Amino acid sequence: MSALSPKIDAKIDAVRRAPLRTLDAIGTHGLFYARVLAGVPRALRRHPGEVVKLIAELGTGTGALALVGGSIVIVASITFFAGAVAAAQGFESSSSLGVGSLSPLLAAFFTARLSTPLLAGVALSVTLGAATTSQLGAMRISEEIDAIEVMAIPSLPYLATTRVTAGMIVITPLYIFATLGGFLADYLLLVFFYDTGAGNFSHYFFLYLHPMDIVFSYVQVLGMVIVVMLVHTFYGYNATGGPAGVGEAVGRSVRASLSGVMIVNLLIAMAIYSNFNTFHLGG
Amino acid sequence: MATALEAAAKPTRELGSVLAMALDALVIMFTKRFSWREAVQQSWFIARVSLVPTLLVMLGFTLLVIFEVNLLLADLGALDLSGGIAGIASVQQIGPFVTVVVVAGAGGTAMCADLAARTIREEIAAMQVLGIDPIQRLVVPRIVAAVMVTLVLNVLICAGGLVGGYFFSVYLQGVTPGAYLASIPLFTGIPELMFSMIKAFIFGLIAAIIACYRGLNVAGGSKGVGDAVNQAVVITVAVLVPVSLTISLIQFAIL
Repeated sequence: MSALSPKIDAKIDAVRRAPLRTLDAIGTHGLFYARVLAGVPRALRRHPGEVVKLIAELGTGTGALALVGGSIVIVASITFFAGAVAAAQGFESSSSLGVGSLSPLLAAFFTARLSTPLLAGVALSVTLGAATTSQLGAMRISEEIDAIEVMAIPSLPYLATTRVTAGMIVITPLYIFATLGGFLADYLLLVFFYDTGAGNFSHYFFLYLHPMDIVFSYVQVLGMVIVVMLVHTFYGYNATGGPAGVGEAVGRSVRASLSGVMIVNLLIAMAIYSNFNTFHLGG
Repeated sequence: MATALEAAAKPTRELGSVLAMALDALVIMFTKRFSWREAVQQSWFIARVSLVPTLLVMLGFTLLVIFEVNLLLADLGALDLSGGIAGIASVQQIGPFVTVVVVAGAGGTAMCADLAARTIREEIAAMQVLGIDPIQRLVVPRIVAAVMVTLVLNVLICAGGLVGGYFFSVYLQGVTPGAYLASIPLFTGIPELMFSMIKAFIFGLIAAIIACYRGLNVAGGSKGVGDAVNQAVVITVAVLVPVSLTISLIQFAIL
């Protein structure tokens, strides 16, 4: 070993320790998430006002985002255009098979099951999540979190748990607008742009829009928002390295939560739809 | 009245300055010296931070679509079309979108954070004092890097989606391997792939321009950096989805 230069030596050392570092990171994350979730009763008992304040903040957004109507409008517009893409692709593909008038069926299927939960996941991660990370990160580097600790308030339930709880509550109205946005896009595009006929649309759309699909996709979105809020509070709460560090933390958290959200979404969907496939062409 | 008009004009002004910066970058790219070193470093950096998340997001996105569509096709008795749907899903819609969401979320946020930190430490101002144009030295290479990485990753994602869909459909949902492969070219050919690449190109361009613009125009100290990064990624995703719809509609009208 001594024959190698110290630089290469350090490299080898870093590679050798990589598995342990990964294990360490998993442990750190797991411990943080467990402590956040364990703080739920305390947060609800001691800081209900904070939870209410955060619900308002997460729903409407802060700063420039509030100007355009906040997270709800952004998420709904994203799912609106995603629904439009699904409807357009569904119409084009089905009319190339000669069954273009069946496209409302495909729109109902794709919008409720795929485009809304998937795009809502992406949108949640970049709106609610990134805002949380940047807010907590700014608090951490300006030593506000240490100040909270000095005042003998456990900062984790006060800052992280309240945000996770507020995220889980605010998702319900957010999800309703997101779903409605997707359906509205289906209607507008298929009826007014592709001329499938309003009666044809409502017949096929509501025939194959199973109510349970909406409930299931709500479950998917609920699972995703928990992952998003946990990951983003972790990176914000543990931000280091000055102003640049906050920006980097936002980037790293978006990366981690996007991957996490999509995997969670896939697993929930497989668990639900393999066993309860509600789609039956024969009714 | 004047204040209301000014408030209404504010988003327009922002849009105008984004376009002005993009135009500056375009002109400078071809008229002044191109900083190769920065472009290569940035490309490597973006590729390094984006590769693993892109693959994970692609797996979640594409496999979910293929899984759900196979359920539908099984009920229709058209399971042999599964490859065709996988082609539509991964090449035409999901590939470019996932690529750029991750390039914006991973690479774009890092670029934005870097530029914003330099701006509030007044390094950018110092560069301008030294007579170095930050657009030429910093923005142009970053835009080129982001577009290049988006194009390369898009190919990877399209291929990865088809391969992942193959294993998912064949081994988990009982599609015949031959039928899967034979039905891919039914809906997806070279023109569709070209549109997918054009989409990725435009998406990468938008993501990079927004990230650089928000990074260079940051205000408000350390809290401002986090806010700028956050806004950059929100604006990027909110702009991408309508653009994706527009390009798809153009594609359907042409092909």
